[in-house]
Amino acid sequence: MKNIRISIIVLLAFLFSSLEGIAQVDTVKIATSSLCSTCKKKIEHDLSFEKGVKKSEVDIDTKVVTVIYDSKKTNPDKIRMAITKSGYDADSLKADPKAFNRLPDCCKDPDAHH
Amino acid sequence: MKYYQFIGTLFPASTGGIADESSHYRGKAECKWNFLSRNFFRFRTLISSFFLLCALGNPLIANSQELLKGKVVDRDNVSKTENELPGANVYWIDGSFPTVTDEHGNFSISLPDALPAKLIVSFVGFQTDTILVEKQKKIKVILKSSVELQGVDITARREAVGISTINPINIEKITQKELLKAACCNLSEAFETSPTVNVAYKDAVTGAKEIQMLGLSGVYSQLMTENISSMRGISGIYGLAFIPGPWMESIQVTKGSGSVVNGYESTTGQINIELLKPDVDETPRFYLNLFRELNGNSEINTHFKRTINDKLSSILMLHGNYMGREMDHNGDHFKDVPTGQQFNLYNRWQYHSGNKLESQFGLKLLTDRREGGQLKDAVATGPSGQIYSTQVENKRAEAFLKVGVIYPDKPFKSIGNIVNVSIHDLKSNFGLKSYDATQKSFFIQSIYQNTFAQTNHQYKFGLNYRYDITEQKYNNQPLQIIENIPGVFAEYTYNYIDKLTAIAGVREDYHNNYGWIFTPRFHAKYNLTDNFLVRLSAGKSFRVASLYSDNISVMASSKALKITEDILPERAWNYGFNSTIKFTFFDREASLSGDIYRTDFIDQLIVDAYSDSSSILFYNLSGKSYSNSIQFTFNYELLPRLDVRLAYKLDDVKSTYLGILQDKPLVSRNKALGNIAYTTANEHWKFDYTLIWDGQKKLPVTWEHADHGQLSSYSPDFYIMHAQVTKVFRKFELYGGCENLLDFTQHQPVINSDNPFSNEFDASRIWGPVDGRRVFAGFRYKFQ
Repeated sequence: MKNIRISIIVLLAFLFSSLEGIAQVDTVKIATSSLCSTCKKKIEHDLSFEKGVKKSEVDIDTKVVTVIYDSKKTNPDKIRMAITKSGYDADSLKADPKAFNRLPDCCKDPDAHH
Repeated sequence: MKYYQFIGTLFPASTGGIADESSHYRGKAECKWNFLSRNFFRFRTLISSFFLLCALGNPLIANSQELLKGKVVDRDNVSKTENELPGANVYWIDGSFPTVTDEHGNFSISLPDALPAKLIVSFVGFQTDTILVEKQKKIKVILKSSVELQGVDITARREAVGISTINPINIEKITQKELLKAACCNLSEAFETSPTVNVAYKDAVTGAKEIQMLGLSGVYSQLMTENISSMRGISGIYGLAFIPGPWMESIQVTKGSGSVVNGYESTTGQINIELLKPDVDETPRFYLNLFRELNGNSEINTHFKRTINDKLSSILMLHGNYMGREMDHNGDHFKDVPTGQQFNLYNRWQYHSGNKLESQFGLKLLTDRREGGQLKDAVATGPSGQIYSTQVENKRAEAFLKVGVIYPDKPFKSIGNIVNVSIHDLKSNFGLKSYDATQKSFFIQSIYQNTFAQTNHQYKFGLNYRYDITEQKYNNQPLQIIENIPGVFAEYTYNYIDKLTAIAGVREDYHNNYGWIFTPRFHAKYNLTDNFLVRLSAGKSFRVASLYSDNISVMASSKALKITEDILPERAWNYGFNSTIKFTFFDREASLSGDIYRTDFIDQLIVDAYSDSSSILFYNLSGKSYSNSIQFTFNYELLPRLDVRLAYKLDDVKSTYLGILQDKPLVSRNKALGNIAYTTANEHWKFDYTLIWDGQKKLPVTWEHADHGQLSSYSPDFYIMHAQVTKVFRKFELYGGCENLLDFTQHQPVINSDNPFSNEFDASRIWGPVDGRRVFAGFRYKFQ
């Protein structure tokens, strides 16, 4: 019983150290061409699969995405590239046209958004 | 127990009253009560200190005599003009100095003692606005019409079960997030994590399920799809299995009597299902779901959305189900789940003219066939050498048209028209018994909605007409019922600065067989603070009992049906009290809600399974029949993204059976539910776990020498567990889980299973799960 308890504690300690200990957390704000809540969800969803991205949040009003990332695994340029591959502009980078075409109507045309 | 005593029971001083009523549950019930009353006491102290603060604060502010002036307008996006909004509510966030705007939309409000402060501006049909006032200067408030709500995003994490603090009617909203927690093949599984609605098997052969609200059978609650009452009579028998899970956008569960707008039925509550809409961005353009259970049950769901132009859009949804394997978990040679297949189609169109006209059209087609009863290789004991089998075949077609006129500059004014036609055909046999029925329904309704002078006085007025022909054949004896019911209704809503809302409604219908039906309903809500409210409701209901279709499970028994007199329609009163408190506990949101509901029947069709062991008696109520239901629900985010729900429910349901007041059969008096849901920070993993405890239920009488001697008159209590995991990938989702993890099943669900054609056969005495552990896995793909 005691052994099991100790091994659980060791395992948990290991898990926490691997999550928090090594990562070097940084934040970047990127202006996007997000238009609606569907865009917000898509950008946040796609970024969550990018290596090194811890968390991202799109502000619909300002269109700015705030990304928290591990600077040892990724950098702002890679994150901007990832956003363009989802079909959105990222700062001065233009959206990937193929990906843009696949977006739902509300994310393409500012007038279609109600 | 009288109604006023009920209200008292929420307060700690009188908790003894309930514990006394149910003395043999004392142990468990009392400790719950103590826990809750302690909590409640804490809130009371909190609230009284709030009032004290207000009382102290008021004179200071009154002396200052400083006013903030402003104007409330709305902007027309087409003409780019602004309209003044008279009658808008304006008040400070703490509820102080409430006022309304004058005929030009102007207001002046006393300043609070400290700035900056938040000012709330609300108006029916518009989104409520909160303005941060930093200094005393004239302000202009532009309200956005709530028609635009779909474009607004809710940044906070969405709760799975929302308990509204705005609506005066006690509505529990089950969102898609909650629906995904269960395997949720169809509506009958959607309530697995909801304490309010319970779902149980009707019998051990057809696989049909039935809901229960407030301890009463599902026939007393009104099931609607998008506010059209679509599961009545024949279509209601197996209806829960006919709305596939992936079609549903959300479910609203209203406890107690609902609005008069939806008709005179709904004694214990209303369940309204919203389906996916083609004009909503969130609805995927393409959706595919594949689902498979270890026992062989398989499903496919797919949707296609098309946006033809900015006015017209459409969605086509398809559902298929196939169960081919004969499963016999307990070795009684009866299938645990019937075999069969379903094909279900739904196509809807939405048209927005861009200004006044809104229109919708929809078509539903369904065919479902289920075969239950003995396994193919069972010993045939039938009179002509057959095995005992059941066949149930449902076919249904339904179409609806909704045409609405809206006034974009006056969002509180509208005209809505609905036409709905349906035909439902049912063919079934249970061994040697047969029951066939066809129901043709026509329904039309018009509602006009507007305000009196100011927008805090709203009213609805409407007319409707229902025509129903039901042709039934029980063992080839025909029975035809024609219902022809015109009706008129009016509902008035009063709103006082969003603190007090009261709805009073009446309707008068004329039924071709039963004459005039008068239905009054009343709802009120009062916010003691922003996060603490109380609700009251009272309402009358009327219902024409449908003897066979309401009690289909009796077909799966050799008991004879004895109808001893002409059956009268059912009438009942329902009263309810609800209190909900939202608070933060260690920086995370929590809510606690308590309900007390009482249903009193004036007339009721009594289904007596106690008085005669060889038959089921049907007669009109003479004496008392009631249901008392008390429920507590606690929701809390225990750790970041770890939501916990705990609920406890007590249902005391009694009817008079030939002069003796007894518990209703197959209703558990005590029930408890616990649910834990966890989502990882990146939302790539979702975990869900549910534990349900179902208390003892009184059982119908059975033959003295049935099977292994006299069966107990109470069922044992039992636990059910469900668990599910979802893994989200970039392009798709995989999920898997297990229903009834403990593999708990009812011992001997079929009485006399070796001899189903004998006089002592019964597959309707069902108090627990019939099928054991169900392991499933599924795949979801969405293209937005």
